[in-house]
Amino acid sequence: MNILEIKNLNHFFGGLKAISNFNIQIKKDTIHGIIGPNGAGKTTLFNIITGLYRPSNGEILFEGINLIGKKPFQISRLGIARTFQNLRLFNELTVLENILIGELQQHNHFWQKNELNKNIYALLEIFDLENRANEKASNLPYGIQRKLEIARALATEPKLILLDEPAAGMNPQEVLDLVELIKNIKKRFNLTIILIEHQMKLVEMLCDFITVMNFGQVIAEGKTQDVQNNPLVIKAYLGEREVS
Amino acid sequence: MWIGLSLSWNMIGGYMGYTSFGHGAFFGVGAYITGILMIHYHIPFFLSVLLAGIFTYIFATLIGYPTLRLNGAYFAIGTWAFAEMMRQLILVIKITGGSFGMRLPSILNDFFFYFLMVGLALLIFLSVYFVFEKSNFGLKVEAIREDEIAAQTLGINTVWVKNQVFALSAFFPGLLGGAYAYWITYIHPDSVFGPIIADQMVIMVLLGGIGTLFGPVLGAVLLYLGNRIIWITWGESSAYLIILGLAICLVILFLPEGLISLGRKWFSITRKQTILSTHSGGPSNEYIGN
Repeated sequence: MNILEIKNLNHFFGGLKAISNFNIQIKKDTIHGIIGPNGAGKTTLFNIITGLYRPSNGEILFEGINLIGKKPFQISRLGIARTFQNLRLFNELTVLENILIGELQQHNHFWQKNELNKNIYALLEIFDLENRANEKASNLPYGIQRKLEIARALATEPKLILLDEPAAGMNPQEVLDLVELIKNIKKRFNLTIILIEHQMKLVEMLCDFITVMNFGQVIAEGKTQDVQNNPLVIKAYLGEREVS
Repeated sequence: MWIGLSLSWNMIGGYMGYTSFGHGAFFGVGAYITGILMIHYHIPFFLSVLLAGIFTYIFATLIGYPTLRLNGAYFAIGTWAFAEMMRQLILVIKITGGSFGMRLPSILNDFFFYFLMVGLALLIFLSVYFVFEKSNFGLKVEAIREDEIAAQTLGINTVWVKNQVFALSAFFPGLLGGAYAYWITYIHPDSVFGPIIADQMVIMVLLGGIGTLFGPVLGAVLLYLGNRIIWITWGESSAYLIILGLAICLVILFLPEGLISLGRKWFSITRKQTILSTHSGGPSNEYIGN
């Protein structure tokens, strides 16, 4: 069953075709990787799905509901959460407050409650943030800030989560931990995950399916192993051999 | 009165991070509406003030819709232009008396106004405390200040929240403007719409500590006292403005979080700790050892 389906999507920045005739199907309960060179339109795609950009035309169906024309907050309430390539944490607020803000749309009481919700405990525990709950987000090390952003997105209790380069700037050990973490949260919260990533190792370890983008178009898609050997993909990443 | 004004400005400037230079206009609108209602329609004072506040609230909602699409310096310029526009408008239309100003029926009772102003300031203080420090709404407002795009993608209706904050932060100056008009009994576009009102609100908050509960109170008290002391010592002179300018430069250079940050070292009245203490009841104590 497809949780997200995009049909004939186009998006222009002035004369630049950022997304052109884009189609994708995301199956429920899978991890779907989107890869492609810089400027291929991957983040633009995320911005369109989450409603930050309004596409020129096309259709985006999330569980049968068309997302086009919906505001970002409405889309979030339907059950799509995301993280950002360049972190967008609430820097002056604490770790706990960051997560609480994510949780607000699910349990919207006017007053702040004295006791924390069970979900918040669970999130703090999974992400190993219990001891840092009162620290300002901006004081955390970079790797932990990345984790906090995922935790905040999960607090909205999404069905689909979009991760934009979750491993950017992480060292190899942190990447391995992240792989475990993503597998763990997927199982625990019944998530479907779409992830943009440049580190092929992480993509190989996590993704069930891959879509390769270049110049706003799909150049290859399918199961992870199949895509890796596709000549078009190798060409997009490494360039063509010079004709001798 | 100044405490109330600086507290109101802190709602939008401090908690939401939108620097408005147009809040003097809401003070003026409140003053003029009260004047018009009392003179032309003979409505009693308290009702007039309340109506003025409500009208200012609705008015600000309408103004907020276009201006809140701007941010940063553009928002500041936009609101400033709006305030200037209001001043010019009041100068030309008939019902406000134009450049002749407006004279309200006078009662000479300083006690009454003293307690009225203290009461209003207290009301505003409590509103800030409950709405911005203790509620989830306040958390949403701070999220918008920190990162508006992230706030949107977390399901916060930022347009609505921003508009509510803007309207709320205009409602109280509307009330204060009404009370001021009745107290001073003579209002003129230059006296209630003048830049000194809007600017002093901003400066008091910066001086005391932006985005804090007590900062605006401290800033307003110190600035007003300083003003009086200088006035008593040197009489009418521009020395006040010079000293004021110097003081602001020094505070911004050395204490960017305002004078209140000095107090933090001795008292635990910081915003962060008040919020945390609300979460430290029950089982959360294990995690949050503050």
